Amino acid sequence: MWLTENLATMIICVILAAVVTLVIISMVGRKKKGRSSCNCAGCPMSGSCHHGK
Amino acid sequence: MEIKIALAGNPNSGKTTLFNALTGSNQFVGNWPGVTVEKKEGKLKNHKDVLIMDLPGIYSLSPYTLEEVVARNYLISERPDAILNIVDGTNLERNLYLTTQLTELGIPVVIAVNMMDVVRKNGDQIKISELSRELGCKIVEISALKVTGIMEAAEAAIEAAKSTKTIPMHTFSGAVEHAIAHIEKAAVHNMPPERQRWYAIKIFERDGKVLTPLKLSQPVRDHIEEDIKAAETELDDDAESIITNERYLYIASVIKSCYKKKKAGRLSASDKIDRVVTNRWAALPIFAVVMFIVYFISVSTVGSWATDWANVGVFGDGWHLFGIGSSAYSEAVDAYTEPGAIKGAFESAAEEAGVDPAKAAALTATAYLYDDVGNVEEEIPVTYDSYLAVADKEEPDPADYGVWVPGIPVLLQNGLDSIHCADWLEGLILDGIVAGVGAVLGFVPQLLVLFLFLAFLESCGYMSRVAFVMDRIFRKFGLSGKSFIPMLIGTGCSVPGIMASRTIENDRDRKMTIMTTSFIPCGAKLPIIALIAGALFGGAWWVAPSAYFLGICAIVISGIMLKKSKMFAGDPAPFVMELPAYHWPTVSNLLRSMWERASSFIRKAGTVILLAAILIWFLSSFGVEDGSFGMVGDMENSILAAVGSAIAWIFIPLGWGHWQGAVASITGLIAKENVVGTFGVLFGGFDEVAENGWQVWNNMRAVFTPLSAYSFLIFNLLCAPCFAAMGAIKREMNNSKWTWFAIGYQCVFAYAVALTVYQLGMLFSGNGNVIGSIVAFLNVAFIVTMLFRPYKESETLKSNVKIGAKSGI
Repeated sequence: MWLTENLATMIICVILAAVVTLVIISMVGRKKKGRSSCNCAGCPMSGSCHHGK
Repeated sequence: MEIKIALAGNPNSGKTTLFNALTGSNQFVGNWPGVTVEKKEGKLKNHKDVLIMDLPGIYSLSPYTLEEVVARNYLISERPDAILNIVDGTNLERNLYLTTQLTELGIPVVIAVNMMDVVRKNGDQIKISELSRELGCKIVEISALKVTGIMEAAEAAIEAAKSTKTIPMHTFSGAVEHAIAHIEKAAVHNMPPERQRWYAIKIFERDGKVLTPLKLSQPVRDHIEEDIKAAETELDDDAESIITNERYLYIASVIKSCYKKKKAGRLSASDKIDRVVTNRWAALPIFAVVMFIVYFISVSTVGSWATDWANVGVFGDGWHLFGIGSSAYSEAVDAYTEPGAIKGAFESAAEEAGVDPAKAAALTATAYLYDDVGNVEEEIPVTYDSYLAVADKEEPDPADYGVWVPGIPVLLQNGLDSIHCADWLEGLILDGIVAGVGAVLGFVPQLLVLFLFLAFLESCGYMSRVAFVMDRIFRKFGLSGKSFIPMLIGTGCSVPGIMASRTIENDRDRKMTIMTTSFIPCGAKLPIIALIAGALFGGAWWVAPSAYFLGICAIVISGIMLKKSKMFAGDPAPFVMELPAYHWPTVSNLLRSMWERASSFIRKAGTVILLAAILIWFLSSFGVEDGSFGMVGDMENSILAAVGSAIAWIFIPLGWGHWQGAVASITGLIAKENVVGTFGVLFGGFDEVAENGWQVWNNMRAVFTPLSAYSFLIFNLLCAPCFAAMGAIKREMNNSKWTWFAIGYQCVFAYAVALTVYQLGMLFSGNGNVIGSIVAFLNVAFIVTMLFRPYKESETLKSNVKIGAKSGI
């Protein structure tokens, strides 16, 4: 009974958790690749931005 | 086998435009010299085995700057299979100087004469076949911007890489050729024959960067030096100048026979425009007017209409499709304003008194009508009779007029209600994620308009004039016009702006530029400006432009003050910059540049801001209430309120010593958009219908006054930038003490300026605080003293640039 009443909440929680996890994974991935939160692709210094790492 | 083709040419000759066209890449193109600093590679379209290398622009193969080092090192060490030399047809003489050097490298060279459309438009004539014969390499006419002739140029370069070797056609005078022949024999005879000539010329020029790796023995060096000195004595000049001079003489002879200028001696259209926009007196006012128009249109007009639609429509209740029905609805709302206020006031009073409004004959109340910025416009006394007269009137429903499209929060709320989602989760999604992320995304239209304007100003060539104009002012306080380029890039994002300061050779200039670049409002700060302008100033025309000029003033004042400290005092740095010809940018280039900047903003909203919104919602929804931990009914009892209140006292002198302002400023360090995202969560919510514009605006007016809001804006514009930009400062400073000094200076400066503006504003409005006013006057006195303290600028010019004949040895 409880499960039926809260099924929608649980499904949305799972979806939300998955989205948050994906966001964190993508942010960590970008960080590891040396990309900043800003989009450096178009920047004249994009090649040398993260040489220090 | 893979073929490597290098694109080499003068700065701003169109290499990156050609690179993008040849490879289908999306590299940043700007109409000012020095846009490309690092080499970039890409595969030629439809030729998987052909690699195109975009090199930074160089004037010669004698490197003085970082860009020139990058380009020369690649050409000398990695030796591409062919060089596609981009020559600006409108500036043939100067561009061919590099060509004469490239042809000496022993690498096949194909020349692409760019901007041929402009050459023809000017009525000028270049005899391509004759020029080709004179220079000894194939020449193709192209227009990189209009994508004409580019594939032919690439095909010619592939062909050259497979079959030919370029042999330099020009020779120097007898004395020089004699010395070069001796050097070839004595020093570089072990090298492949095609490389010997270039090395011999460089040795003759005493190029230290070439001589050192060759590790020549002392007897050989002495022998060579004798030959060089003999040539110098004969030609009565130093070796480097002899070579430069003879190259230009050769080029002049080539140009004479191959190039006909129709309007020789007459001013071009660019020159005529420059006489006005770089005029000693008119330049700055013109720049101020241009930037005023850019920010005014972006924030207060076109951008504002689009943002209102995004905030109130897409991320609000909804909107009328194509405006169908909106005027009828507005009329209905106007007609209901007074009856609604009377009805609401009387029913509230009845509820407070605990009586039924329909039977409260003795009850009276006061209804308030508000103006656009939330000030009380009219007070209406309400009686039982006046209530009965309007009691049956209902608030107009926008869905009853025209074609109504519900907003995202409404749709989500309906969906979540229909599946009986838990209230707390509905709160998280609507009041946390949608309110936080939506508040930030709502400003995308304004950003798109701003970025489009900036892209146009950069592409047409105006911004490089601004660097030239700013040089006159910047030099007075120790920065060169070159420092304006990082600031220009910083209008998109401070991170690449700070990184771009790497091209500034002078250490003192570079450090000052790093420290001050983030004062210019970046894209992420625009939503803060727009939010404050809309919420507290009714979209006043001057707020957004004032934020930009505040940034410029902060740079100027900081520059003058820092220049007078021991750390930054020093000789003036030279600044040489070529002003490119004005041209109309292509629509695709403008859109690409705009999208490059805007996409990072949108990506951040979906990542950093999303996570921050969830965290802020949690911290603002949970806390200790009635002695137990759990969801709180009053946000004042939340964890966030407790944390914010602990630090809010710091900002009391700035006029916004409440926890919401303190928390927003702190979360802004994660990303500046977070300031708006945080306000979206704290002041948003969709439980009430906004009466005057956006709900966030109304709630902000309860805790901010226009003066305290402007002080908040100043502090957040000038204080330490986001963590990403702080990381960039750390990398560029490469020294933790300097990093902390930079961040500390920014915070202290921001605090002092915000405090001064707020306290003086309070004083002049008759509500001044004695201590606050004294501190504000002390701040002003300190800044004025620093500004007018005499500074003895060095009259000598010291530069690290290698110009002496003996500097190579």
